[in-house]
Amino acid sequence: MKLFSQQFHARDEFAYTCLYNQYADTLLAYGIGLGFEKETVKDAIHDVFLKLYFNRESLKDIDNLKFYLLRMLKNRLLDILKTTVDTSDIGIQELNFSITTTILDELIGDEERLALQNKIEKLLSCLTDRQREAIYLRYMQEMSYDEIAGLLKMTPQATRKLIFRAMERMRELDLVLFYFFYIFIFFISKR
Amino acid sequence: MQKDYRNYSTVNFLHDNYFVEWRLSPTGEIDLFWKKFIEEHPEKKEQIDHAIEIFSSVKLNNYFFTPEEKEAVLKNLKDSIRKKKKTKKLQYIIQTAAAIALLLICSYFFIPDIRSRGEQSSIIKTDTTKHNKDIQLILANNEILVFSDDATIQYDNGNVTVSCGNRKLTSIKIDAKQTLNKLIVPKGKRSSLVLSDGSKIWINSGTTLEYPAEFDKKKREININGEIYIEVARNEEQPFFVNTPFFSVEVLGTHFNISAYGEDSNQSVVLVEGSVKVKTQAKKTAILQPDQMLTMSSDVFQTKQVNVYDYISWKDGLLQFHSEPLNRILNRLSRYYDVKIECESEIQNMRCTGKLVLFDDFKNVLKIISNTIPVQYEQSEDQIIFTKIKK
Repeated sequence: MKLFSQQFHARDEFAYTCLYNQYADTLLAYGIGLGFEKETVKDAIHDVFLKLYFNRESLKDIDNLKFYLLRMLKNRLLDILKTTVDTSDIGIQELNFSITTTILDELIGDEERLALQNKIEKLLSCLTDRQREAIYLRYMQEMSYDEIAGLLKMTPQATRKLIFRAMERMRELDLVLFYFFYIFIFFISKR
Repeated sequence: MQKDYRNYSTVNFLHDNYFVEWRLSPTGEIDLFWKKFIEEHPEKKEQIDHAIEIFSSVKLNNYFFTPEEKEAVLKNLKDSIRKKKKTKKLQYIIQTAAAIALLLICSYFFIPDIRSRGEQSSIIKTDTTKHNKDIQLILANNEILVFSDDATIQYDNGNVTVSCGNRKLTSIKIDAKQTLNKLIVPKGKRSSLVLSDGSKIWINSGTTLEYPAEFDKKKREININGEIYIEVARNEEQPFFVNTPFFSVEVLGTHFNISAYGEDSNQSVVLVEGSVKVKTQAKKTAILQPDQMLTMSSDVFQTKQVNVYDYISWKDGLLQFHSEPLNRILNRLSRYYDVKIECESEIQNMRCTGKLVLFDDFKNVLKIISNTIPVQYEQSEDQIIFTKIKK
């Protein structure tokens, strides 16, 4: 990653375009996940890359560009939100995070695919927005606890706890279903 | 309360919450459980691996731009940059005008001194003029070396050496080792390059390449736009990445060819030996086996078995092809010799098989083509037109 930011020294349009091509979709997906309209996210991406271009000198020491870009996007989106609605009563931490699931594989049948998709969405829907965001960043963006912590504005320790809680929560849901199933079997066998 | 997973099939695993949770976030207790399970039940490994593979196609929030949207945002962005630069420029112009005036006055007194400097060697060092027809090597300190003949460039022990054939042109000590160097090989020229880790690269016409004089300890990374053939020196602790504007290729140590010209609609990777992993921006991945070619057009992958030498023969100064459409061959020649070549639509798809020696003199190549296949050519000032032979 470091290489890419260094390329900017040559004021190189090729490097800049590569960088944009590489991260535009990631930024779009994250912005939409945070609950913004596509057009708003597009504007924010534009602003982020514009800022990146004129601040490239300060990029020398950044070795995780993806994290840096996602954080810039989130901050920019929050700024946009602040100008459009009265945020006096909305805390910065309280953005929604929604997740939709897509399964690209064609090895399994439609039915199985749908079942898996429902399962994932059900599990994720029992989490809080922040837990969902953390799982998303971990699974889709392969980010470390430290990076997730930076995006959620909390300590790495608290982030670990957050993800741990998320797993526990999914586990509980699992247990409830599991016992329901057994009670169900129990009743059937009694008849 | 752990369920009995011993009779689970691939689909059963995919429908199991505990498995799904594990894939979503492989951490802590759950990760340990599954790793232990696989260890204790090696007979289930196949089903689990299969389920993992299928699960890897699960995408959360799989939103992306259409190519048009992506292009439009980029265009917008470039316009904004230009506008912003203009306002900055005006301030800059006023400041520079003052500075230049001062400089002119001062330099008047030093002119004799400037004149007395010695003549430069066959390498011209410059930092302003454009050399569209020459090979340019841009070093980290923005020093530009320009050479008109096909060159061999070698990085070794903090030095860069440039030679043409057996003639050594120059050798320079490199200071900023981690910063990127850039090599621009225009149409009609070729070069080869030995990187600091011993990897060898042949660079085809019309290619831009970026690489550090010395690699990072963790990984080796280079950027290209164009076509190269590369023999990566094996080093498992330092994976090698080749980035193109369209995809990136990860390897440990192999020989392969990459063709990723910005202006082409098709990009390809051809593997000679070893194995490589290709990854697009949309996070699509593919693993290639030797003798396979992967082509990609707008993010769609296709792999097929090919005759490898057809794709790498250019590095030996010849073109080999098997039932290749004529227009594709002419397209390659056009880049190789930097001449515009047009081809009548009737013969564009004529399939050709054989070998073509890439002589220094393009006229010889033209003669061979017109002697072996039923076409004729007309040479005008700036282009060559191929037509069907008239009886």
